[in-house]
Amino acid sequence: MSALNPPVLATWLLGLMDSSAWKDAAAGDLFEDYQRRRAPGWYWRQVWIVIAFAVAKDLRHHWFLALRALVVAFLVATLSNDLLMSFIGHLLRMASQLLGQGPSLLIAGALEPFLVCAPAGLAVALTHRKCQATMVLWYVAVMFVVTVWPCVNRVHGTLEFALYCECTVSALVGALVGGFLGIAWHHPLDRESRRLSRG
Amino acid sequence: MAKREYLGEFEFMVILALLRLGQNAYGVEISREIERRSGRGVAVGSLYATLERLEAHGLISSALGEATPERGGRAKRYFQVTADGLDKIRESQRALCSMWDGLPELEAVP
Repeated sequence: MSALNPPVLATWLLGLMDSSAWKDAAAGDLFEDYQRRRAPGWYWRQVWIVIAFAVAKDLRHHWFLALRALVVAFLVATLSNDLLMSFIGHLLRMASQLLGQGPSLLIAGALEPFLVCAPAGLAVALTHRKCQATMVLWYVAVMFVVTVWPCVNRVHGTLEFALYCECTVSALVGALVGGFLGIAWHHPLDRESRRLSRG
Repeated sequence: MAKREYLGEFEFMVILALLRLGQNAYGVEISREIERRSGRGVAVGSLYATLERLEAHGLISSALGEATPERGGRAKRYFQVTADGLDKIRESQRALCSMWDGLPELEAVP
């Protein structure tokens, strides 16, 4: 009987974690157990647990890199914000004339955080070849805490709250997209999936 | 007095599973053994984190096996308990038994 391939994206994510001594053995165990269980949900859950342990271990051993990643992200985000401010302002004026103030605010609220955080995520990935995925996930996790925490104090159901949520989601998606683009530059998905399909 | 570290419950289970499995102790078999005997599900991530910690303390050792197609071309990592590991588990067993002895609440368990 031919081997049943587990979800390729999950396996790719697992392969991104820094080469700890046990990563390959754990990936092999998951592959072997998946042949018996054949449950993609179980596989995804196991992969996230492995990633969580690997991230915690990397952060414990490379705390200086973790600090550096945050500094790099902050500097790049500040720089992109300064560079994009006039462009966003111009875009906002144009959208405001064409669509009215409400929709243009929505567009700006989604676009600006994305365009500010994506280069920061990309920079974190490109400047941290060691523990690359860990540093991107760490940056996104810190951003999540920093941006979601103030939500608690906002009045829910207002337009301001909706805009804030939109900006937060857009910033997190931007950071993830930028970071994973940087990672995919060094670890293309198709190479890993081809290797898996051969078994 | 030097601080003495005792094994945690999951570490205990992992070492006992390694002893039961002998030469065939690798990730999948270890987690199946623990699941079979304790009824407790084992996540591969937490199992390997524990194995890595035990190995760092010198209580177990590991060696790579051969890569096989049924594992997606990845090698098994076999684990075995070291002499220090055996000493440690005996010491923990003695400590637990000593705490256990003479407790009437625990003697009449059905």
